[in-house]
Order: sequence, then structure tokens, then C-alpha cells
Amino acid sequence: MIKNNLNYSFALPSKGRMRSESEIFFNKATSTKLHKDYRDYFFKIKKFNFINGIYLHSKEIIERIFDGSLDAGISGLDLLREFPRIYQNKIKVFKVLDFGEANLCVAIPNDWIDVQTTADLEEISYLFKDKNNFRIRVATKYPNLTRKFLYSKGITQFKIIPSLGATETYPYTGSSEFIVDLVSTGKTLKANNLRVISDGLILKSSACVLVAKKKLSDYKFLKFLNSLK
Amino acid sequence: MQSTSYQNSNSDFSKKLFKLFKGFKYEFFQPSLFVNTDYLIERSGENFRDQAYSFQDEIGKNFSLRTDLTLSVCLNYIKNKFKAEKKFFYFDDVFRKNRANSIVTKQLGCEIINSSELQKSTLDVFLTIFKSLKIFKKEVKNFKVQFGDIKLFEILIENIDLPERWKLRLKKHFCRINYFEDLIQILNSNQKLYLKNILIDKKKYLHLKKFPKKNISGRQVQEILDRFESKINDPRDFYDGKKAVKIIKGFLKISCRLSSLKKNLEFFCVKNNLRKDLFEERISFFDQIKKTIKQNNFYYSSQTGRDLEYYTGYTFQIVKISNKKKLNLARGGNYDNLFSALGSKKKIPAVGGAINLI
Repeated sequence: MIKNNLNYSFALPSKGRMRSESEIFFNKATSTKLHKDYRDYFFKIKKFNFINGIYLHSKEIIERIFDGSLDAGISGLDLLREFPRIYQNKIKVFKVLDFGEANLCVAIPNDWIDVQTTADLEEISYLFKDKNNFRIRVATKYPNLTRKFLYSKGITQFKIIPSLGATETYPYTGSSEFIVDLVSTGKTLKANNLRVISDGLILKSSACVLVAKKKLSDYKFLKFLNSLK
Repeated sequence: MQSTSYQNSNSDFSKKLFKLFKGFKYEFFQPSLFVNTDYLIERSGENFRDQAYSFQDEIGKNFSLRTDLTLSVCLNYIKNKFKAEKKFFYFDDVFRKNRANSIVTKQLGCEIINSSELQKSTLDVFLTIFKSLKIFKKEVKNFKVQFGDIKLFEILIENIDLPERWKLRLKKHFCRINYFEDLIQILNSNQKLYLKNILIDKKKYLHLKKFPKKNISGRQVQEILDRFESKINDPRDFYDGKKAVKIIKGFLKISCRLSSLKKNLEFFCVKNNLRKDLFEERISFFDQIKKTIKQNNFYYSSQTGRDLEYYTGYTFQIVKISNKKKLNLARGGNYDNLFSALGSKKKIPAVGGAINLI
């Protein structure tokens, strides 16, 4: 994206519910309608014509704010927290929004009735390794948050299976024994015969306005960001 | 990146180093720069990934820069199918993430593997490290040697009134200091959360009883039922652990000169209605140290070495204290379970120590 020195860039998620809800929020907050280009890649805001709007993948929004080619955007808190600490040092969570809410949780097969807490999971992880000669596997799209959380609960005997989607099917297909995934209503988990363990909440996530920290000292841009509050 | 080989170097340092270690009958070991990441994660856990700098080759195999030379020595022992006692020394770089000062540390150390006389070997390793430190770090003054023994904690736990499952958990997680604190708090507060959940699942329990051989995500139903039943019969969370917590906390506070260790431990035992000679057999090792080296800066602390997961017995740490800051110069200890964790079918006792040169 070509940046004009006097302009600022702001990204919205390019797909799904995050996109539609971000647009609704943006329209409401700026009291104006977004003007999209014919390719549906870019947008402009009449009231703030110094903002160059762009649609990007939620994960890419964080990457671009980090590398300095984007000034701000809307993305998920879960995605930001999954990135290494160096990203969090450069990006500020400017506003937590009231959509895209979901909890990142540890979920196990419903029929594991002897497992209620992470303490149980820790115990069976040892039993599992002794019996099967390999570690209990956890499928997730969030390997860093998962590793950190499980270690904090004393669970060390596990192996992470990186997942790109449909994580809740992994225990059913035998690709993992349990999962760590985003849960919003819990319906998907229930349909796949899984349940969240009682102390298995890793992160409460929602959509957020993320801003490059170095842009926070820019008065003009800050005024625009404050109008989103 | 190139590994630095000191074996062929003509420097005075290398000559001195080789003379010293060969004098103690150690064999030089040149570790490989890389280790197989998948192999280590499968065996020693995901924590390794957090510490290591990893790479992938063109066919997708994962490798990491070595994070620890003890690990490399052990892997080499397993790979070569050695059976007898072996004494190795090494001097090379290790690479670790999450380091405050530097990602590269130069380690000089030695290991004795599969020793039949572990106490003697532990003393051997300690003396070697202690003497090397004096030679190679001449500028070091005002240092303090702290000893510890993980087994003393295990003896204590076995001799206090606690449910079996709690004993296992406390011993297993002694090295994870923050999580151990959480466990102590749970034990102290007698949380009553779990039984409520167990009762909810009773209906499911009766249903599952009809299919004992069914497999649910890698676990057989019978195994799930057995554990469920044992949880009802041994409810760890209704146990009043206040007294046990008081004893454990008291033990963890023990920190004294090595010369007064026996007296302190006996006082602790009497105070808590434990056998006066409970730790006597283990602490005889410290008498050997006192006899071998006459120093007044040798201390004991129940906390020494507990932060390193693979230590299982005696531990030591040589620290320099300057401007109220503690600088770790060298450390070592027994590690009897590391070989099993790395895939060895036999339990191989081992002891090692290393000096951090940078």
C-alpha cells in the first residue's frame, strides 16, 4: 500500500463475521458510511479523508502494524497474544470492542468423566505417556498460548499438534487427545462431544482496535482514534 | 554458524584445561552443534521449544542449536550404547532463548555417567568444578558454595501425613517453583470444588460401565472408570493439609552453614514430631565434603537446585555476591532420571557440573 506522509492507514478484517461487525462498528463510530473501491480491497471515510482504509486478514493486520506498514486496525486479542512478546511491545490495545467475543479454552472429550480440572489433566498426561510411550497430544491454532498455559498448570508431558482449522474434530479423528480452541457459544464443542474443563480458561478474547505505539504521539491520528471510542 | 573446537587450539587456556581434566581422568567430548528437535520434544517435553533456536531443513526435519551440553553428552552416551562408567568433559558454547544477558554462554563442565558409587562421583565432580573455577576464574573472590539435596525433600514428603496422590504431586512439581506454590495454597485452603463436579458425572459413569472396552480419544473406558472410582475413594481435596503445609514451608526455609546442617535438621525433625535421624544417611555426604575441603563459605539450602527439572539428588551451586547481586558461576548435581526421559530403557545414574564462562 502506497503511504502518503500526511495520511494514515487503518485496516479492517477482510472476511466473515469479524468483517461485517467491524464495518457496523466503524460506520456507527464515525457516523458515516465506508466508501469501498470496486475491488473491495480498500475503503475511505468521508469525514476522515486522511485515513487510507484497507481490508486484510486478521492475522496480517497484526503483522503489518508490527512491521510499520500499517498504523492501526481491528483484529482479535487472541491473535495478538499468540504472537511473540516483541509484537506486544510495539502494538497497543487501544480499545476493546464488544463483538468477536470468545474464550480460548482447554476442551476434552465429554466422556473423560475422571477429568474435571487441569490437575486431572496433569495426572493423566503422565499415565498416558507411561501406557502409550508417547505424549498426550493437544491440537490447537494457538501453540504459544497453549504451551504457556499448560506449563503454568504443571502439565509438561504433552505434544502440540498445530491445527489450521476444524480443531474440534481432532480428537474424533484420532489426531489429538484434547484441544485448545476458541469457544463462543459452546455449540460446536457440544456437537463434537467435547467439554471445557473447569479451570481451563486461557484467555477472554474479543475484537480490539490495535495501534502502532509509535503513532500514539501523533495528535491528528489520536484524534481520529479517540472518535472511535 | 561454526562450532568452536578448543581441542586443537594451542592457547594456554586450552592446554591448562586439558591438563586439569585429563588429570581427573575425564575424556574430552566434542558435542554436535545441533540436536534433533522432534526427538527431544517427544522425550523431554514442549518446554525445550521455548528455550531453543530451531530450524527446519529442506525435507522438513527440525533441528535446534544445543541448549545444554549435559543433554548432548547424554544423547551421545545413548547413541553409542555405552554400558560402563564414563567420564566426559567439554568446553563449548550453548545457545538459549529468554536469557537476560546473552544468548550464547560458554560452558565448561564434566559428567560422570553410570557410576556405581554415586556419592563418590558427586564429590569427584564437585572437586573438579571447584578447582577449575579457581584456575579459570582467578578474579573470582567472595564466592559462596551452596549445597542442596532434592532427595531430602522426597524423604520429608514420604514421612508426613498426606494422601498418596498429594505426595506424588508435590514430589513431581517440586522443581516448578510457581506451580508448587499454587499446589501448597490448594493444600492449605482445602478447596472443595472437585466433588461437586464428580457428582455431576455419576450418571455418565453408570452409562460408561456398559462399555468397558471402548476407546475414547486414546483412553480405554475401563481406565477412565478406574480413575473416577479412585477419585471418589481418595478425594485429595477434602484433606486438611494445613499441618503438612506448615512442615513443608518450614523445611523450605532451612538455610545454614554446612557445619551446622545436622543440628538444624535434627531440630526441625524434633519440632515437627519426625524421626530425629530421618535425614542422617543422606547428609553423611556433606560430612565427606567438609573433610575433603576446609572452607567456611560452604552452605546448605533446601532450595538449591530445585529449579532445574532434571536434578534428582545432591546439587551444588557456586555463586558470587557483589553489590547485593547473585551471580551464578557454576552449578551441578545428580540427574538419575534424565536418561529415561531421553529414551533409555535402563535407569542410568549420572552426575555433572558446569561453569558458565560468559
